[in-house]
Amino acid sequence: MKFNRIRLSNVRSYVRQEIEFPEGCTLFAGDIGSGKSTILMAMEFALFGLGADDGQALLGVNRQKGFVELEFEAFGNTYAIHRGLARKGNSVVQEACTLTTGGVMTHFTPRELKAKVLEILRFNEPPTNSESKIFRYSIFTPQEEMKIILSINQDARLQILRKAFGIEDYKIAASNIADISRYMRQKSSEILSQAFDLEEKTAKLEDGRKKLELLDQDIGNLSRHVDAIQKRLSAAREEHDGYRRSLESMEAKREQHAKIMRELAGKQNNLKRLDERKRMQESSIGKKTAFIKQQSESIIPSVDPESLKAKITVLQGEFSSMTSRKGEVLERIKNLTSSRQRTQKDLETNRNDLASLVKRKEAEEERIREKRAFIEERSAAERPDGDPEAIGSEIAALQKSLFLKATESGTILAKVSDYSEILSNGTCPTCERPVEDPATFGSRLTSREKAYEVIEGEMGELSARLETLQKARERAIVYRGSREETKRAAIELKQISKSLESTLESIEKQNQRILEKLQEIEAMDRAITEANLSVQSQETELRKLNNQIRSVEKEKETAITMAMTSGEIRRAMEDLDRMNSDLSEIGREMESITEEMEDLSREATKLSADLQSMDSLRSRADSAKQQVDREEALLGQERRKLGEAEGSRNQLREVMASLREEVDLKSKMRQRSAEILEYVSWLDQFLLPTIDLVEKNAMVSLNNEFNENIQTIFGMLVDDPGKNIRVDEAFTPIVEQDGIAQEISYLSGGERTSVALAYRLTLNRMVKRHLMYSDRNPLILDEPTDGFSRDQLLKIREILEMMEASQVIIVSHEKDMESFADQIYRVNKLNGNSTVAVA
Amino acid sequence: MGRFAHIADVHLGSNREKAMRDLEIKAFSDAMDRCISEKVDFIIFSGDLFHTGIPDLSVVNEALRKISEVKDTGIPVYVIYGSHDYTPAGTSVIDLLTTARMLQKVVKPRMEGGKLCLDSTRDPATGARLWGISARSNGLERKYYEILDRESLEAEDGFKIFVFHSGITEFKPPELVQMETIPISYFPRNFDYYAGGHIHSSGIYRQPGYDNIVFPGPLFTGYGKDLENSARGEKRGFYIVDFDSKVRKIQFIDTTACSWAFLEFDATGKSSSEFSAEVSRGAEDADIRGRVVVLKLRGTIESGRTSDVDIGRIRERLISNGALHVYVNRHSLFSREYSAVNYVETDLRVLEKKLILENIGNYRGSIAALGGNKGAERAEELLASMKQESKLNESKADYASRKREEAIALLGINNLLGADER
Repeated sequence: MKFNRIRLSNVRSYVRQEIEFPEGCTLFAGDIGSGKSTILMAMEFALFGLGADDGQALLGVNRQKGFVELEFEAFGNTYAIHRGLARKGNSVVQEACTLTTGGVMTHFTPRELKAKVLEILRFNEPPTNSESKIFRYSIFTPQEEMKIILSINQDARLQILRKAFGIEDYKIAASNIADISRYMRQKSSEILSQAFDLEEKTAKLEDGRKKLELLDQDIGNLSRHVDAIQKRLSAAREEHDGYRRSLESMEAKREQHAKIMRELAGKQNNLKRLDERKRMQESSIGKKTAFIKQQSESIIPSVDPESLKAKITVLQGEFSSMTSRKGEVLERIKNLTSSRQRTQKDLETNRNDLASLVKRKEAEEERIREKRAFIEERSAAERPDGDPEAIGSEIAALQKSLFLKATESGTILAKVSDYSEILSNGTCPTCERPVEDPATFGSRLTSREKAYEVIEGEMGELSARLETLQKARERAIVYRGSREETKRAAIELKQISKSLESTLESIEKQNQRILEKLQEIEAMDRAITEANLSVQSQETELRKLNNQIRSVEKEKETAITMAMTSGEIRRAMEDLDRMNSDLSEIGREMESITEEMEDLSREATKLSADLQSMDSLRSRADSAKQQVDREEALLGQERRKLGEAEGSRNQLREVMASLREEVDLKSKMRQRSAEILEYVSWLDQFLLPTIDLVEKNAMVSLNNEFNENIQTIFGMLVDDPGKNIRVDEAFTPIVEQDGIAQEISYLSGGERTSVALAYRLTLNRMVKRHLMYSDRNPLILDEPTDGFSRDQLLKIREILEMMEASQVIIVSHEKDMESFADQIYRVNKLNGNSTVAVA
Repeated sequence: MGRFAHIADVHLGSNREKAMRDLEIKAFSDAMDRCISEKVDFIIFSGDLFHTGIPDLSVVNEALRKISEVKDTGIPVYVIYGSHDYTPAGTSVIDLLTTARMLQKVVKPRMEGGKLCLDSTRDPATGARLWGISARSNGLERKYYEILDRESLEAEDGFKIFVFHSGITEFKPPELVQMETIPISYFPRNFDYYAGGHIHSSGIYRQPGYDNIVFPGPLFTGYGKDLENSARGEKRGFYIVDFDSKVRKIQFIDTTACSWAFLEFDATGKSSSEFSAEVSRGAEDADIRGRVVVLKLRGTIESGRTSDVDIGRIRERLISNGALHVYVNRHSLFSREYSAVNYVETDLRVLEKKLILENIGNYRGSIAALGGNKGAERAEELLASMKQESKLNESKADYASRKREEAIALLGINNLLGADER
């Protein structure tokens, strides 16, 4: 930013004044009250308006209207501001303002223009403040406010600085982010609350799953149970059907038996009737015969038909009785046959037993043979000469003798060796001294050699004897062992023999039994044979009787025929023939019926035999039926259970499907809630602390830089090595003397001004450097050296050079300041009117 | 037997606060009264009688009042410049008082053959002879010692007093390691008494060839470190020396003008609020009535700022509880939060980027878009958006809602929050 010029009209003591602002240092010099500071006030008014100030303080006394026009450059553009003041009654108000740039004039309200100027200058502060803090702190501070910066409320100062350096933005960002975090947390909570019962639902689902599992199991078990029951039922039914069929068959048989019996009864009745008829027929025949006789009495038959007839009857009687007897014999044959079969079975059993016994006998005999052979072998073993102990003693003695002999032999042999040595060397082998007369040792040697031979011979004999005794002892030991074995074998032999006896006894008994059975069978066979023969003879007899009867009947017929000559006799004879024929027919029919009855009887008997097992069969069939009923009942019961279980399962499946859907939805809600919380966590745990860190780092950096600058400037102004200045974290200036903080109020005037100036200049430098879009801002100093010593005044130039301000505007009454101004304006006041002229 | 008072580093005018100034004057007055009562033959001020070359006139006035009382009793007052009451170009208060014959400078230098020769001042009452070298700021007087004609001084006879205002290298206190000092060998040997100044702790030192090197220390406080030392119980005063041909007795006269209270608090491991409360409690409970309080705050505050400790309020409380004056030393009080920063970076954009990238690693969540470079970019965008203030005439609610919408859009969580639910 650079001020170009200002035009004042009716502003305080200025009626009309135009002032150019060159680059470099411009000094407005003049006496106190000449109007120097008014120029600066007017500059601030032009930029930012009245703020909290009263327009009365600016508009010239007794003037109705006034204005300030300020031309300045910022960021490469030139701007011209026009702000007007007008008296309205007792107050002075701002009129509409204009801003001209690039040839375009725009009208603004005073407040709008302020906002626009802040925007142009890129000062980061709201237009709502009554004044521009950044401007006041960094560019221009009115004289009376120079030192206020030192005593301003710490928080207020910090706030302004934070705004000036853009640090406050972090507070705003943090506040916004915290608000968003709260919002998101609330949202998360709301979403989560919709899933408050997720655990409950999940537990229910799990419960359901378990129940379903159990149900599946139950259903499985039930199904298997039902299958098993069905199988059992099928089996039971099959069994029952079998029994039923058997029963039916039995029933059929029973019916048949009953039928047969009925038939038999019927036949019996028929037979009875036939017999009745027969008797009647016989009676009729008798009557006819009698008639015929009577009629025939006149005829003399050659033969008496009646007698023939009686003979036939007798023969028939005999035939029946023979038949009856034959039946009895047949029955007897049957019984005998059955008995024979049973006896045959017994016989076979006995034979099997016998075979086993025989095998046992043979085994036992074989074992007996073995044992005997063993015993014989052992017994045939050569008896030893003595018992092992005795032989052992002898052996010990012999060994001792042998040892003594060996010792003696050794001694002799040593001597032989010595004597040989002496004889050959002539020296004693022991002491190695020459022997006096070695030759005398020759005989000794010979004697010794002989004795050695003798002993060797004895030793040989003893060794041979020893060997013999050792062998004998071995044999004795073996023999002893054999004796023991033989004893055991004898005992076993005895046992086996006893067993064999018993076996033989059993064999004998068995043979006896077999024999008896054979005899029985034989007897039965003979009886059967006899019976068969009897049957044969009876059959022969029956055939004979049958032939006789036929023959007699022929004879009778012949006789009757011979006797019949008359028509009545002939008719009667014909009737008689007919009757006889009927009778024969009846007879035959009766025979036939009898035969049939016999057959039926046999069948009935057979059926009876079969029917005997019907009760037990029925009982079994009843049991089977009961079993079927039980299985059916059980099956029904189990099927109902199964049905109920399946129904429950289906119901449960439906419930679970619904629960699953609900759980999925609530889980998703939880996830959403958790995801939102993750964003919240990112904001709270990462971003907010990071912003705080940025803020702190920035503040510390700024603080450090501030301290560096203020210490440099203060050090230039206050030449006391023990005195230093620093700012704390709140940018509160602290002057210390050897570490002890000095209250600002107790500093000298010059020291206070030094602190204020150092602070302001530091602010100016830092605002210039750090405002992102800051231009090279001018520096306006209003009476900056109040209380300064001359030395300090002289240092101002140095400091201003250090500030590198493109434009410095100073208002001062100090003459010394003129020495370093590039441009000096003299401000004079005459008759209440101020004028500015180049010095 | 002669007797003299050796006083140094009075630093009249160093205290601007009324209470302390009164005590300062009182200490000086008491010292002068004591000198009179002890019937000293003369008084030596070995530098820094005043705190500045041109002190406040009221201070000078009070000083003059007492000096003239002393002078009226016939006690001469010998003086040299110190490092503070010396004006390199111009007239200092010492000059004025010397002209007014209230004081007598004993620094009488002359150059001879490239050497600095010193002429003596003879005390008429005792015959003691005084030579002196004034001080300069920052130990610049060293160059005088370098060219000093020691031999001539050593050859002088009588009871010899060397008056100086410098630290001696061999006796330099460890806490004054930065101070410019003069080696003892630069001093002339065999003087009977070396009346020193500039060191603000009393002490008598001896070296072979150098007997009775004496520093009285300040009468009251002076300033800075003196305050803490006084508060810790260091006695303040001056020496009265009895002598004949030799020094016979050196007696320290205590002029402690007030009671002190030294309250020290260590902030290490505490938050600023905890520490502030502790200091307030301690200040409240301390016995400080009628005392000058030195409140020392040191250590590193774990959280919060050092400026969170309301020194002003604590000071007010102490004063209202009866403290005469309160000095606060918080030079060694630091804030961990404000010192434990990794980046000294004033370009905010660069700082933001660095710290965001550095801290994004702290995010251990499962959302990829929030971690790594993507997360860092998102954070930067969100921060830039959230930093914007409300627009002109925009209500709070509208602003909050707008920011919310922007944040949600930036984060891409419209669906997550449920568009129809917002």
